[in-house]
Amino acid sequence: MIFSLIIRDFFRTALTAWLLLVIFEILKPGAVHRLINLEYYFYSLIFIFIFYRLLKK
Amino acid sequence: MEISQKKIVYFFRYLWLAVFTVLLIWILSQSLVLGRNLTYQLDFRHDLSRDIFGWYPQSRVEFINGQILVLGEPLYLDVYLPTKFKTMIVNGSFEMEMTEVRLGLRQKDGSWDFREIESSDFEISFDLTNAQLKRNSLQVILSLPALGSDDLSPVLKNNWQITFSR
Repeated sequence: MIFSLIIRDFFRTALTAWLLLVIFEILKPGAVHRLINLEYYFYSLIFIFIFYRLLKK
Repeated sequence: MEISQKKIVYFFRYLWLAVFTVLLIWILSQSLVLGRNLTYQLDFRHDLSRDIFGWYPQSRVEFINGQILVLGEPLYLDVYLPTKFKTMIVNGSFEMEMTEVRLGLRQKDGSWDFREIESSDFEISFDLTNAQLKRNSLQVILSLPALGSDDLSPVLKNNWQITFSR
């Protein structure tokens, strides 16, 4: 229970940060991508979400 | 949920917030250049770095003893520009006995602004007013039209430096 809540909070924060980074990348192309691969970041979010759903069951 | 469990959940909630806030601030700070100049010290041992991509195509270069051996031409280099600058100064040195060596910068209309390299230690300045910015990157070309006509293989020393100024 407590572990799933921690994972949920992590997922929500990471998702918000990803959205902000995508907006920044759109506004200034290359600024984020040269430091972080947003595509792999997104795949990681999917894995974390699946992990969270499995924990919740 | 017990109070101690709530404390743990809140601790991690604020921890994640702190971690991602630091990450966002760090990324934003990397796009800020407060000084009037920005200098990139090129390291040809790595064809891919955070701000520089090249020289490419990779099949046209070989890294030997801290220097780049040019096997084919032209060579390209992409340089990331975090903010607007007026001029770009490229300096470095090479070993070759060729007569025609040119360094160029891609312009907005797709043409190249070529400058002749006249000595083995050189410094060339480019005006960035009409330079093409693709994903905030400039494209530089190194052209050696005489390559292949004789057995000479030019060598670029690993001391190239690119300076941008406002």
